[in-house]
Amino acid sequence: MNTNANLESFSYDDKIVRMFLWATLLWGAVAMLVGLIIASQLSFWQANFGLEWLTFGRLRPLHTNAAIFAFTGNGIFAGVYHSTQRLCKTRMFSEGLSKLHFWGWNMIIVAAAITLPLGFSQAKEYAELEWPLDIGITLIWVVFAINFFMTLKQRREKHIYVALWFYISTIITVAVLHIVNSIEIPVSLMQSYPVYAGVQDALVQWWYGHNAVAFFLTTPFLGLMYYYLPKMINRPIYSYRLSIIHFWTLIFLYIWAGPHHLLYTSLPDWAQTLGMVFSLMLWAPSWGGMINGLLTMRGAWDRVRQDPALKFSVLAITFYGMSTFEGPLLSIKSVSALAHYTDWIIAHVHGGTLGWNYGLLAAMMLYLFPKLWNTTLYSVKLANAQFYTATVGMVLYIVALWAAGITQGLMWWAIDDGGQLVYPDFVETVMRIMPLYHIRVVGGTLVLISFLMMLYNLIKTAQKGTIDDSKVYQAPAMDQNAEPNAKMHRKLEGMPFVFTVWALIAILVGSVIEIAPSILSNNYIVKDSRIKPYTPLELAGRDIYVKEGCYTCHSQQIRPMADEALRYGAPSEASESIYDRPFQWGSRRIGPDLARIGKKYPDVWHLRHMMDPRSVVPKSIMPVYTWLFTNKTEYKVLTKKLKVMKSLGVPYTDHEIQKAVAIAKAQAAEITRGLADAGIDMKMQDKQIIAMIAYLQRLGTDLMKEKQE
Amino acid sequence: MKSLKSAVLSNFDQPWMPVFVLLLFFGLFVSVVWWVMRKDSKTYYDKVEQLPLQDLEEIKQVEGEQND
Ligand code: HEC
Repeated sequence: MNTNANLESFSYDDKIVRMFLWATLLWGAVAMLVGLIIASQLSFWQANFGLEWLTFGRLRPLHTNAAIFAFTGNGIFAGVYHSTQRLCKTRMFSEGLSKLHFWGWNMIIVAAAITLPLGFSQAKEYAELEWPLDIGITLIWVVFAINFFMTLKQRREKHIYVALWFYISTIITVAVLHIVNSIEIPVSLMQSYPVYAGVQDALVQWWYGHNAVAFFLTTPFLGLMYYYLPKMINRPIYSYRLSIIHFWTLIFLYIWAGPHHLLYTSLPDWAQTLGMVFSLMLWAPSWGGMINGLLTMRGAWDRVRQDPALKFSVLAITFYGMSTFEGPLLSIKSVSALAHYTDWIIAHVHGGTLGWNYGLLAAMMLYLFPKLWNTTLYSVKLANAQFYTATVGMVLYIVALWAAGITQGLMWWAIDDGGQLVYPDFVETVMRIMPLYHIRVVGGTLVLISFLMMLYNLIKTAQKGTIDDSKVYQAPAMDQNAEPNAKMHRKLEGMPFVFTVWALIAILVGSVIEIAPSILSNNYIVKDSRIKPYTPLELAGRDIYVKEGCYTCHSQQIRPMADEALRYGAPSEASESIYDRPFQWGSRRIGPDLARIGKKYPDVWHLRHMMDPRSVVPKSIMPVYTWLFTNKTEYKVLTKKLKVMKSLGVPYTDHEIQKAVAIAKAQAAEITRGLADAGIDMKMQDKQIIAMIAYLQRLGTDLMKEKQE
Repeated sequence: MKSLKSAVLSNFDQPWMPVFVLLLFFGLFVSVVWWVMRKDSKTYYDKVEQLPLQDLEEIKQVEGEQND
């Protein structure tokens, strides 16, 4: 039908795809290596060599950010740039923007790899990067969005394949999530306070955090699955209809599920219930997607035996099914009661990131490298070995942490007939799971080895192949009026911009209903006049707590349960964290909860404990914090910090702001004097340890005061 | 004095919220299913689902010797 006059010539930009592929391999190895280091630190606390920038609290954010944004991020971009050009029968809109995207994104990652170990952190999970990097991320994301949408606009294929829908929803949702969660006021070049505080901050953060999983680790990967799976086995997806249902239900539901990270906290009950109900509903579309993927393989199972890329696809889809079954399960309040704060959650996320994300990216790369280098895979045997090593590693990792999580959860719970805790000593519950931590290290090592096998295999594949970017293709220009009689819904499915608006509405509805009340309503938190802002020195100590990443091991949120009341004290109340910017509720108790640690021990206990935890708790696995004894507290910025806090509504008086430094120094002197018996010189008063002690001793003490009114 | 807005918003603390939302989304779900199951969409989907499979080779064939 098309006359030759309509044909347009073009070529694909595969150079950018190859660049993203190399970056994926590089960062994947880095992310897994850092993960292995921090896993070893839980097995052997010495594994940080006493270096501040290697401690768990600072490397854990690097591990998660590298795994999510560096490894899977670059992998997504590689797949999106490759498949979008094919699905749209056009070259990427702008080579310049593509390059800017690649270099910008990867420079941000390099900056993250430097700043996180140095302790520049906002202490919000997967959003730790400080404000200048947040701005960088926003700009680069906009570059990506422009490049992608303009490519859609100049496409030569009228119909928009479902994979592109998943990419579109990813691009707009990640933008919304990142911007809303990163609204913060700078204090200095590398520090800021979020505009949200306490419960509000928790809600926004986990709305973000959960949807980072949804729209970074799930929707783009589903797009990749819907494109690469049919390609690999050369037959269409089992049910295209199901993929559409999968898409809409997924994006409508996912956005609400965040509060399942906050069950039994002081978040209002209705929000918790919403989070739980939506998480349960997510099970259906997720399994719809999994079944769709697996059924696509029907009749092609014999090929799985020969093709390692297909093996990894099956592994990935299976793990997708497992993780999306486990997720809703963990969102049930009574299950969460046991699993929250334990390693079960860590097992769960690794099922997702290793099984699903690494699995699918491995499949994609084993398929793409031979394609893009015009050759065959260097070694199928090696790829098969990689597959089995990875699978065994993952299973060891996940099963060990399931066992660790459930064991520790049950030990925390255990109350004897006399109503006393069976394991009052927290560290006892840590000792019990140590063997499982060792197994985790073995599992993690296997996964890393499998990754290095792939790295080698793909480098060799690239070496033996050749690059040919001179291929030219032709396709007819898209005729805007090709289907004048198309039905309304067909038009919608073919109109990316209208479609984008719909998808945006879908995610905004949930976001607004869930989050707006916490920001707008005066009744959201029951106020308590006993709760007072932190003193300047306590604030300085708190910022050190944030910087050191203590939240990676300690929660500050006591749930309303008998065992927690016995172990930690009364349940945390929403009012208690109204001055907490950022909130520090945490998500994992490798150490005990600290919400009511204030006044539990004398100052000198903390002094010794921070210097050498094993001097007071022999079996402790907490890192040493010797540098707090030599690094100085930054007094000068306190005035600025208080000013910023005041601008955010914290009721500091002008007098307090003006005299912030003097007030802080006086409190530090007082604490240091009290430590004289322990042989502490007055010279210690401007060291960070004193500010840290001031902060720790304040935690939870406000409610000990008489109630006024 | 509570503002009207906050008075309205404080009503979010209601047990019907989840139920309402559940119904809303069930409704949406049914609509989406109805949407994709419409008879006349079949030919369309049959075409679209082939898109990932018709790359390089097929276009190459269209323009013949222009490729090297
Ligand atoms: C690698 C995980 C880890 C990190 C990081 C960590 N801790 Fe700990 N922490 C523990 C463990 C395990 C315990 C329990 C054993 C003990 O008391 O040493 C503990 C105990 C504590 C206790 C005693 C709690 C009690 O009720 O007895 C305090 C206080 C404490 N940590 C403060 C901190 C501070 C402050 C930081 C950050 C500078 C920090 N921890 C970082 C693991 C960690």
